[in-house]
Amino acid sequence: MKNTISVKHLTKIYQKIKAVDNLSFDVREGEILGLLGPNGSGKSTTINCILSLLKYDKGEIKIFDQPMSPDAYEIKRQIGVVFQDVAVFEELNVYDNIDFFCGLYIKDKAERAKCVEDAIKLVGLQDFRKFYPKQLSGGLLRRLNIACGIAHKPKLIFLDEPTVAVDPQSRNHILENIETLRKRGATVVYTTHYMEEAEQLCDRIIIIDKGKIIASGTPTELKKLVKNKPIKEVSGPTLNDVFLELTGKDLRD
Amino acid sequence: MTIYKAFLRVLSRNAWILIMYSAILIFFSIFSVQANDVNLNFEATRPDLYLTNNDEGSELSHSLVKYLTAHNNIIELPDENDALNDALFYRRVNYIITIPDGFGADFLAGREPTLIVQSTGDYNAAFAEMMLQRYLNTAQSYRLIDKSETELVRDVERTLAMEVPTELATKRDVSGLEQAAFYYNFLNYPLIVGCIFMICTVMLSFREGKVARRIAVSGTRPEQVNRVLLLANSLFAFLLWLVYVGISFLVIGRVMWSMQGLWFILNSFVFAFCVTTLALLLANIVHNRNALNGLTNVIGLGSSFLCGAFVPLVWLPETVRLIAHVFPSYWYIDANEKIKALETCTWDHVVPILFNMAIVLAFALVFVLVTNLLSRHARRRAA
Amino acid sequence: MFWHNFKYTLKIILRDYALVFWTLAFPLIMATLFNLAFSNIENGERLKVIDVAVIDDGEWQANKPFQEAFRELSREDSPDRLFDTRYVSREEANQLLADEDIAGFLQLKSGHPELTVAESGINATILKSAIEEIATQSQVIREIAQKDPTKLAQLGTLPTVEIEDQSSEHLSYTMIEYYTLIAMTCLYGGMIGMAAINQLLANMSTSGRRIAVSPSPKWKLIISGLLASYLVQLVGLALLFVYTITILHVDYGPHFGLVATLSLLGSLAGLAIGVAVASLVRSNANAKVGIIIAVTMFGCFLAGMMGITMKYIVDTNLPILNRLNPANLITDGLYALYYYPTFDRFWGDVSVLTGITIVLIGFSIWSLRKEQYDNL
Repeated sequence: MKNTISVKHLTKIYQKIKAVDNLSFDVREGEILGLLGPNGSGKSTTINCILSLLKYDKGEIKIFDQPMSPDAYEIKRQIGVVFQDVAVFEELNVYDNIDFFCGLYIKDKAERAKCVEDAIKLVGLQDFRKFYPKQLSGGLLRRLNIACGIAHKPKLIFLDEPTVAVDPQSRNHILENIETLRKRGATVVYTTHYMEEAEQLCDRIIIIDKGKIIASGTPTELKKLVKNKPIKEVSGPTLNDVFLELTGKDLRD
Repeated sequence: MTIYKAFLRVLSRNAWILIMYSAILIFFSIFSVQANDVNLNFEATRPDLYLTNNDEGSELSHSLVKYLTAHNNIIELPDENDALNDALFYRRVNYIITIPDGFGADFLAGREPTLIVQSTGDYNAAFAEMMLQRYLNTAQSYRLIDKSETELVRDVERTLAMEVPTELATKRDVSGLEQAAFYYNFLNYPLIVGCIFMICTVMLSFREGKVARRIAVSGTRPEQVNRVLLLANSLFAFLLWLVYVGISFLVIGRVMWSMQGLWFILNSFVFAFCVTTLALLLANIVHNRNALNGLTNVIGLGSSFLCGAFVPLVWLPETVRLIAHVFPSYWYIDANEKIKALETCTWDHVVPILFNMAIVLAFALVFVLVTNLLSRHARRRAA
Repeated sequence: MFWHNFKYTLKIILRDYALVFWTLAFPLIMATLFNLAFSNIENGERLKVIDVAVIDDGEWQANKPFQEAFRELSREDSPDRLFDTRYVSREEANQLLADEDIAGFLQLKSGHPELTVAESGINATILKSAIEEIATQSQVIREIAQKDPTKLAQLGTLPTVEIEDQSSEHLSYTMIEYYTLIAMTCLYGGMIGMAAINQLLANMSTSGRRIAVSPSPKWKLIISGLLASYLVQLVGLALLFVYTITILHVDYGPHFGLVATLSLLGSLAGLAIGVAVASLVRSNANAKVGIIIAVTMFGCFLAGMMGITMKYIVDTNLPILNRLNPANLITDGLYALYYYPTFDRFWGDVSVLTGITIVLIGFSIWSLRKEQYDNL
């Protein structure tokens, strides 16, 4: 299987602290890769480095077998990003927001209009086309945020905690969207705290802490790593137990 | 208690606005009106004059300069064209006189020499020109009988030294009152902006955002919250007024300790009350922080410009003064003007001032009634 | 992509009502207020006919020179009319004075004038001066009659000294208020550019991050965003000019082409300030708006918006401050066009303003050039 992303020896230092420490991993074509880790573990930093938003101190990043750089426009055209913070314009309505961001990728008007419509349908905002972000609930806003990131039908999608502070209905909706995207052939890199989500969705999971990979594998493989007796006996260990086992139980920021 | 704490938090976060407007008030009341010492003798107005004498050798030209110097403020300026032009435009000087070389000789010889002047065209310039004319006319007349330049200059100076004894009718501290009236007129601006901005900001944060939610879950009854808020807002407005009165004592001093000073304070208190009711009314109407910013500025600047807080009422066009009657600020500022001219505290003199205050209170009453009407309407809609 | 971003930048700007209010509506409101408040102020400073009174008793009736002089000074059809004189009793005069209906009254006592005025001031001073003038003239005539009565006839035909007034016709200082308003509009326009750029920068806003990962070249977006901002700025400026010229009848002097040139440049300076604040200051958009408002208002204050005296004080005592103050450079350039017959001062202002704009743009380019950041 081909690698969509390959990261080799990535190191990023913030004021003497190694936020990302000699990280190497691959993302395979067509898979959903989960990036897990507590707050401040370096997940977002890693993604921002891959996207060439952040400078990094060492390492090599290739996407579609090409080196990634800020002006690698051909690569960027194939990428969609859904950021952790809702990144939409207060002054534009739902349709215009999606159209604006989609327009940064697709010049042709007819093609773009179709993409925008598809995105609206995908996230289920058909009834809210003319709504402004202020008028949307938290869950709908998250869905708009996703639509803005993926309307141009990218081959590679980054989702940085897209379900934070969202009610279960909207969350399910969002997770279904991600499944749909994968079925269309997209490769997905997904970061989250929610273990159930990762368990349900991801083909492979990488757990990061303090900028280092501490475990990786399929959800089943990871569950085997648990040495301690799980709290919930009946159903066997969950990824939650794996997570706590590996990263410790101290409170994070 | 929590409500007061929240109030104080909102207040301290926005305190810089109050400080800024207070600084503007202090700055302008110190620099725009310079109070003279109390003077119960007549003092002539002295135009600001710039003089160039290119006729150094002439006794007559010297005497003219001496006379003008005695009755005008001679302003020192760099002898450059641009400096003089700027000084005239920005009214640093009212009048510029250039005495050409040979002026005295030509004059004595009965020729018709030319004096070059520049003038702002206002009354100070007109008065400076009157004085210049007066000297020249007197000198012309004496030229008929005086043989020598020295004799002529002596006669002119002797005659022009004559003064009319002048009695001053007023016993008021005119320049002090002028400054006090300026301060209290200008107060319209910071008081309106400070009260409306602060009270509306507080009410907004109590109606929305984290503070509102915290109060909603605190179990306090909404009526009680409103009562406390009303009290806190009134207290704030009262303290703001008190601070401004305090500043007036610092900035103006002397005249504030007089009978008129007391009237200024009373009048501003009535007005501060009216502004508070207006702020509470607006707090019921405005539901958006951006709109609040715009509205505060428009009301503050609008009423100040139209009602004479910045430009004295007497200098406003007739129509503007007429329009201004619909603002409480007009009645407040008009009352200040009446207090400034208040000679004695007799009933006849005081009635017009009380009348203005009554109108300001009537405005306040209307604001309170409309506020109640609106909130009752809102409650019914919510129910 | 260029026009796509241009179109949406316009849409975003015009939907931001606070921005529209401060950059488009607020200057018009200020212009209206200036017009209402200042339209009469310079007339108010002109000499007006002064209300005075004379005590009309036996002594007054006996004094022909004073009677004649006051009749002449109070003649309604005279261009040199100074007074509106009432002839009253002493009691009436006191009452008129108390009611502030007259500036003062004159009483002759054994041939000598005595003056009572309400308070010191220009009107009282002129009344006093005029009375002294009358007294002086009588004295001079008496002396001539004494020394050489034959010369009395020549008094009417004395040679006159010509007083040549060389002052400019353009002395209306309220023009400065409108000029500072134009400066304010130009610089407030910076808020528009600031908003447009802020949302394109990955280290400033979340939308900027989304834009940074897109295949659209950053420069194209920045330039199209700035173009859209500048367009809105110019619309605001045009509105202000049309409004002040057609409705308020403000006279911008004979060189409107240069007035427009300076305004275009001023708007560009405003835009440069906005871009510099957007790219160099790391803070939220509200704080950046606050910075632009503060810089603009303080600049306008020094340029004379709240009183022309301030501009003169700074110009003469701390000239460097106003030479570097964009609000003043715009105001001063317009003033130079209005007041000065030559263009040296105007071009001086224009070149400094251009310099400031270029420096700001340079700093902005230096900061915008970064495609990757050390932190976000």
